[in-house]
Amino acid sequence: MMPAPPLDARRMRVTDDDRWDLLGARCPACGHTVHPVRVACVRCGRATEVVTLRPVGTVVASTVVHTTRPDVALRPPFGVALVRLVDGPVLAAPVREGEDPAHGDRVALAAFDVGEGDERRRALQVTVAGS
Amino acid sequence: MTDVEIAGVGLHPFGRFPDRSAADMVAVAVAEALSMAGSETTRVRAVYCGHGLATSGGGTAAVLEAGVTAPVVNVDAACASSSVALSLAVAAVRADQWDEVLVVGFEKMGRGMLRSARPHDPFGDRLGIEAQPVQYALKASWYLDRYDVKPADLAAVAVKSRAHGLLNPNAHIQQHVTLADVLGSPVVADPLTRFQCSPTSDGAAALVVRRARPRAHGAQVRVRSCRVENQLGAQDPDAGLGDATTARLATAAYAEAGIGADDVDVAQVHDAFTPGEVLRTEALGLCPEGEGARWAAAGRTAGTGDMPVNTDGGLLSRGHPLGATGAAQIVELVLQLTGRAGARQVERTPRTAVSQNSGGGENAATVVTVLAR
Repeated sequence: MMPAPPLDARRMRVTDDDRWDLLGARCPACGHTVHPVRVACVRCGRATEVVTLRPVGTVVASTVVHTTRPDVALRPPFGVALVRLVDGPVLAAPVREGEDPAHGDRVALAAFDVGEGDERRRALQVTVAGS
Repeated sequence: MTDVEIAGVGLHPFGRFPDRSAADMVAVAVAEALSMAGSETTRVRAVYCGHGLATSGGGTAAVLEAGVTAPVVNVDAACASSSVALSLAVAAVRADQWDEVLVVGFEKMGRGMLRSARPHDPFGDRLGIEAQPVQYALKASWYLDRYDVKPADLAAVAVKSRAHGLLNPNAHIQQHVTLADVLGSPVVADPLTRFQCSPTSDGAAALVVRRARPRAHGAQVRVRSCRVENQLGAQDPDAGLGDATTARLATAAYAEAGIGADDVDVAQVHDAFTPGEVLRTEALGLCPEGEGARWAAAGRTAGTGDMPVNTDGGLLSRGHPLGATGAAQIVELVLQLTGRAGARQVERTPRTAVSQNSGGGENAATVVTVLAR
């Protein structure tokens, strides 16, 4: 089966059904690294280059969402964690169902799919497993 | 450089007004502001109009229906729209481009959770992560942990806000609540409960901004500084989840105004959610880092406290019609500075006031304004 295309190509590259890369942008001039990819550096304005980031980091904040808009792909309650990646950038992603990472915990990012049929897209979630 | 004053302020009550158009509300706010200033529509040389959800050029049509034929600059900076509009008005009058202008802000909003306009972020949009309650809940979780603060202290901000709203006939929410009510309202995103989230509201506000007159009618409140920065939010990995943008702006604004944080007598800050008030009160230097929620619980940020914050109920209770919010913050501060705030007037009429208004995430801007009489 073909892998689902990424929900956001600025965040991840999907290479086959179980392989993917976490993407970021690095400024060749000042070294500032961000996620998701931006075409220009937010610090110095130069053109960035796309880099692969290690999908591991530390939880700095978390919540459990109980109310959301009806068009959101996840049904509450679901967790969201803010993760500081070991490569620097910070990103928020949903937490894998049944897990509840605490602040300061080392976590990893894993791929998971949202949507059905042609609408199926690959996204990222936070997990304590494999970290 | 030309001194700039706010000579008049006006507000259409905030709330749900399905039978009134944006123009109807703008007309009320503009007439009230011009009346306080002792001015009239024909003296207005330009209008800077903030709105976040109206259609293209929506401000131009609304202002025209209010009887003002001057050219209109439409400003969209989400929740900070009319504060950015004020910064443009102040810059134009300072530069002697215009003698007298209007700042207007308005919004007509639907019910339900707001969708941030982020077409470039399908991840945050589809997974519900960009939703403002989630973003603020993450800040709250970080804050409670970092400074060892109890959720009840954060909830105390909402109790205080509702008490202020009851003193403000123009506030959207008129309701007495206890700490148990706030903590017991439905959880939106842990630790934030429903009463810790601002409502969606309709409303309008207007300000007459002009070259300062030595002896004139009107409020005669001087604008000492009005500064804007774009937000990058969590994009800066070196920053914590406090409001670094506001802290930077406050330092620059206080320097420009020749004051220190200690000189601020009353403040309006962007409390779209309870952690917003706490983090921004701290970022403005009005209370020590980590103490904002405890100060609210102790009554220090109440209208009767030693550092009154959001005396009109703030976004949480006055309401939050996006484009009108920044101008409404200034309306309240001008009323306080001129002893016109009625039942919610703080003791010893204040001399120096600061407002802080944030647009949503990296879509918009943060604005800090210093006013003095």
